[in-house]
Amino acid sequence: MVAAVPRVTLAQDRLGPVIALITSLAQGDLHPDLPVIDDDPELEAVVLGLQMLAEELAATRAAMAGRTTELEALNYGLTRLSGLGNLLLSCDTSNEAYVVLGRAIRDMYGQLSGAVYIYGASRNVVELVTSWGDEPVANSFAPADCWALRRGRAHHASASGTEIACRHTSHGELRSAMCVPMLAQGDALGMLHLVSAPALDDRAFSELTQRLAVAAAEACALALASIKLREQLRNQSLRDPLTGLFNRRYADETLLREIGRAKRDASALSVVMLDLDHFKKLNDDFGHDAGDMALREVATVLAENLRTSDVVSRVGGEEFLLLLPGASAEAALGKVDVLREKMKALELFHRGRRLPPLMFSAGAASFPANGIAPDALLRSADRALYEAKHAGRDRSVIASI
Amino acid sequence: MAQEFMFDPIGPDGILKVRWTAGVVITEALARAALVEIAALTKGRSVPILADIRRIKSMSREGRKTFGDAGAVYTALALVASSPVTQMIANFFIGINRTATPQQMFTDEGKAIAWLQQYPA
Repeated sequence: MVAAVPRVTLAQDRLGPVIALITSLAQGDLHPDLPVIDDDPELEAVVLGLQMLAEELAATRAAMAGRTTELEALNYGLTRLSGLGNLLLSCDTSNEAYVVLGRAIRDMYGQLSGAVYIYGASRNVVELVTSWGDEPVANSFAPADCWALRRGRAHHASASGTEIACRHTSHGELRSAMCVPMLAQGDALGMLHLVSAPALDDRAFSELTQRLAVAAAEACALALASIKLREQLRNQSLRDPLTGLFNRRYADETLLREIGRAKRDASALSVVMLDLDHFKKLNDDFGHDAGDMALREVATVLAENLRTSDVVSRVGGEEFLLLLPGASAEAALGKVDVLREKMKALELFHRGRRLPPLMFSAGAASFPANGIAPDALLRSADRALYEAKHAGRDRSVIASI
Repeated sequence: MAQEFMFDPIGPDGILKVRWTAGVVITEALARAALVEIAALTKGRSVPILADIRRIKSMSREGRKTFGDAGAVYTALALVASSPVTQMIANFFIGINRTATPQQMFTDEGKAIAWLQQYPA
């Protein structure tokens, strides 16, 4: 009888190292020690094939790990970006939005310093509205000093690369920096600027970082354009277009608020109704253009000679309402006298003709003596104004109690 | 020229033949050196290339990748292999680097040349 044992032993002997190699690979070791087989070309080819498969698998695994890290960073960035969008939508004013913007972007790019710039009214300068981080940034600069603003697209210049750095980033030591124009509806509102610390150099600006910065700038631009539009509409709804003074609606809202404050603080509050004298005649003699010019000049005198806490409104054709918080009726008349002198001193010309001196009548009423409700106060001031007119104009009357 | 590989003079068939010497491990550095010399010989034109790897020991992943990324260098690539090891390397290279440029493994150089003649410079 012939024993089969030697054949089994031979197979084990030949294939053992290959089996051990496959076992190592199966256990996740993609860089195992390779068996040396130099007397069996087929087995040698098998080992080499396994080695090459392991190398490809290791490379794929490393690429996937890198991709996963990148996707996690992208997910984090997009979540922050979405949060930023929501926050910006809730902002009422541009200044509020700048604060939100600075905090959110600092949060998104922890290792980077940065700034947000907005075009000044003249559009020949961009001004810093918010900044973060340790790296120095310019307070303002000409748009021509920024390649992103000049070209209307993101510009990244690395400390070691060949791209030209923007002039506004020249603060001593070279740093990697990125500028992204904030564009909304074809209009450049400003620029988002990110800058790395010297030690970080180019690692700070991965492709993902750059893509997110562009998305952030886009979201910010849209939100800021929307806020700006809302501010414009709000302003238009509260202002008299001819004189730029507040309108009746704003005056009514403010009077209610000021009465509340005067009650709470037990402080004085006066209202003055002021009406230009002989304004119809001025219009008839010199035309409506002259009348409009006179109204604008009156508005300037009123705005320039009262405190910022006082509220001046145009409430009718040639009728103005002054809300004077903290002023008694007597103090109010003192202010009105100053206004009267300033107005009389105006020398106005229209198409070469000198306009007659501007005069007005005024009626003053104060809280709480003449009323504790807005309507009562305004009625008292109106009655006093009527008395001033009736008594010969160009004078002021304090409402009787 | 590096000793690890050499070129046959380009004949009337226009095929560039690269012959790797015995026992060579084709690394990234060797692959790059070969590509530089190929570019010099072809003056940057794409040509049919026959790579004789019958006597090499192995080819590193980086070496495979370097050649795999250089598809613009050749109109077609014939890898001539003989042993199970070199056939494994050739098949692996072709399988991993799926390029638009034709590439095929042969054990017979004559057949490789005949195939390459379909893809002139």
